[in-house]
Amino acid sequence: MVITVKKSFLLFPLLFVCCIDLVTQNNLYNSLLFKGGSWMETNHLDSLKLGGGDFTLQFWASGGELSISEAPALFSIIDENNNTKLAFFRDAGNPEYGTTIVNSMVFSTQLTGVDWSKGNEFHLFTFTFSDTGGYRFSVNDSEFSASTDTGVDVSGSTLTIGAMANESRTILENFWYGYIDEVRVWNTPLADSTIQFQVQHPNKFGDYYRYSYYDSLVALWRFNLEEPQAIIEDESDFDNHGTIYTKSGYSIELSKLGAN
Amino acid sequence: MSSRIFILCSLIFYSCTEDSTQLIFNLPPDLPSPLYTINLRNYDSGAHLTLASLNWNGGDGAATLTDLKSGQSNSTTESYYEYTDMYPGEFRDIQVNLTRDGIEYTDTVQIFTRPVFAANNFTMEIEVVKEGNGIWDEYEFFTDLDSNGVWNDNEPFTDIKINKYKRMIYWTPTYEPKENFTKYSLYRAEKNEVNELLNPQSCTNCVKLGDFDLTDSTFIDSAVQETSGDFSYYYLLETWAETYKRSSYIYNYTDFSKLSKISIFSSYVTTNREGYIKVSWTPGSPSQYFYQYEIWRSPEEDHTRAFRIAVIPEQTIDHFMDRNAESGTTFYYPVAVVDINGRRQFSNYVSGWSLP
Repeated sequence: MVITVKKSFLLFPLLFVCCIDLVTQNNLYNSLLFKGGSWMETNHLDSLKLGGGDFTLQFWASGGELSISEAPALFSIIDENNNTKLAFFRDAGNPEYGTTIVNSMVFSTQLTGVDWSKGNEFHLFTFTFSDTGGYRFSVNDSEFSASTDTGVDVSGSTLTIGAMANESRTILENFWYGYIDEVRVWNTPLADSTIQFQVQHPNKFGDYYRYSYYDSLVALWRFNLEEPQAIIEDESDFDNHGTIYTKSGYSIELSKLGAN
Repeated sequence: MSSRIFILCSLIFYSCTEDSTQLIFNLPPDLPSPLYTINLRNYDSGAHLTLASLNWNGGDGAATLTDLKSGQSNSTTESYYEYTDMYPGEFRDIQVNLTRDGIEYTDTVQIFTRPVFAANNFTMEIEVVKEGNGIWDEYEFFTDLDSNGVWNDNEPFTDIKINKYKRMIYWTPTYEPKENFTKYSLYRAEKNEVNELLNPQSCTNCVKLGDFDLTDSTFIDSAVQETSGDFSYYYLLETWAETYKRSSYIYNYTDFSKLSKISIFSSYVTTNREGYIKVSWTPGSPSQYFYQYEIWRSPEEDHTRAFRIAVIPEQTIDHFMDRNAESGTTFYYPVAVVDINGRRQFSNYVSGWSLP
């Protein structure tokens, strides 16, 4: 009996050694795997202080298996008149193509270097708008389209991540299939040099830590969850928390895959 | 003792193994009805010989359907309408007008019927056989039994075998359903009169070789076996379905200029329509050698995964509306022009996209 106790006692430290990494690691998961029928709603864009024409949207995201032919929307911004102000889709038929809608105009683009079929290859998708500089779209540090005369007024609109949807949900379709690691919303157009830095350092926002542009980060959803939860905390200072919804029969999976 | 160690080990593994899949579920409160769209659909277009229907999301009252070519209008309170007076291979553009919650909605859909399915793999092969004619000819040796210097009946002779050209006509069955099928009709024309096969019912010198059943798939033409040459005669097989017919390709007949390829401008394939992609082209010069247009759709800009989505036997048609392309996905469209020999020439590929 005594011997038994001693042996058991020896095993307990082993248990703690095995699990210590589990206990001390706060964020088990890095991204969300959208598998259709699910989306994240955010605050009205006016409350995100995006009323002006200067802003940047960034997504660390990848693709993955796709069993449908309808183009999945990474995000959409639709106004109260149901006009699509901005949306981006992966092409369901061609793993190298993406489609952007800007002010209801459609731009289909071959995204060299992107393969939507590979879920473990994350890319930084950046959409930059400026009253003076127009519209720019880049994947990682490659710019794919630009227009100097395209501005987008997103006042009165809502941002939906993972679907085409309006605020009242009377439009709710084109659900995302793939991983989303992080979403950043800035109320300023980011410089190319900043985007390049971010591509090289997925966990950093810029190389100048006291730079004032951090104040313009008005929403940051990192999806580094420990357990399933519907409320996604905004890790900027603006409390623009997001809410995940899933239709009946659908779910979002927590994933350890991520940009880093 | 061992059982306790086992329990502890199990505890270690239970504590430290990978977590099971973690899923987020969060059903929203009752979702509202989707925003109204007219959502025109032509599910059975291309499936029937004389019938095509369309349906839509119903409005508040009657919907008006207008044939944009003839101007003929019909009205219905249903959300479904069937056109039963069409002919095989006919295309119609139907505009639908209706109101819903005081808002007027208008959209246009293309409906179409299919042509009669022609017989497949229609071919002709010449089998050369050596045959005697069974009678004595002056150039043939004979045994002059009565030594009178001339051949008489009953005197043996060498019946020299000469080449005979038996034309073997083959085909594989039409896809036409048995209940529609009426007959096959086979025609032959000499090479200098092959154009008569373009309208064999009114030809003057072409020869009708017979009518055949659905189970028939071959015919041996021995009537012109004295004539050699692959290109001496041409054949055509009609497939009849009730009172409608469709000709096979004319095998081996290529003695005419190929039809010009179609060029599609990038702006001729739409990227801004809700629910459909429209492909337009400029028809070539009218030609008696035209057989059909074919609309192909591919997820890539090549033929690897392309498939044919419509057959248009009328040369004046200049557009096709693809309502079965999933929204927001890029598709590539070539239009092939096919001649009466079956030679298919593809246009360039142009991408299209329909709004989500």
